[in-house]
Amino acid sequence: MRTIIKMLRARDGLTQADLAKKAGVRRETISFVENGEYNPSLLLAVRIARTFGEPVEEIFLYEDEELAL
Amino acid sequence: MRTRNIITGVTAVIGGVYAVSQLGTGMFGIISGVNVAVIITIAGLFIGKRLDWKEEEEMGFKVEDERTQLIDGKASKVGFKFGNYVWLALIYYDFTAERYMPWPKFNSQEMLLFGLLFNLGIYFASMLYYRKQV
Repeated sequence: MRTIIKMLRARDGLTQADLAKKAGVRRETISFVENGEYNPSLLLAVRIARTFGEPVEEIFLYEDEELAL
Repeated sequence: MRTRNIITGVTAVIGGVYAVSQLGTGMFGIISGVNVAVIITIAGLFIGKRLDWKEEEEMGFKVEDERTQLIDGKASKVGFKFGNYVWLALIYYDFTAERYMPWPKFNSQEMLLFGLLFNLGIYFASMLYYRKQV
């Protein structure tokens, strides 16, 4: 999984700590999500997406192999 | 935080050495010394973690979220499963040594100390492992 969270944070001038506060999670969770090392719950993904005003599927990018059953 | 960890480590070593000096260098003394050191370490880490959480909460951050719950759940599962195997192995060892084989026997205190130390150790090791994996 890849994400464009870092780019969106830069666009909106948010730090990881700011995003963590807005999404209601720990700072390190945002770091793991941002680096694609942790798959967030649907709720957290939607919260992050709403923070940036972008659709979830444009923030969290999966390779075809990852989506294959 | 680093200072707190150093203080905890030094206190744990002093506590462990003191326990060994009081209970002797036999198996029970050494296991007790390790147990004292582990208890002090756990208490120190627990208090340190609580203080960190308090600071984080005061800054408006969450201290527990879905990821910490996931890590805790996975570590608990590993601790429970491996702990069960170790307890069973200890009990079967004791049973066999008691009835069939001329193996050295543990007393109940040693068995309890070893089993509990193993349970705690595997739980915390799993927590550290999953913190980097999850």
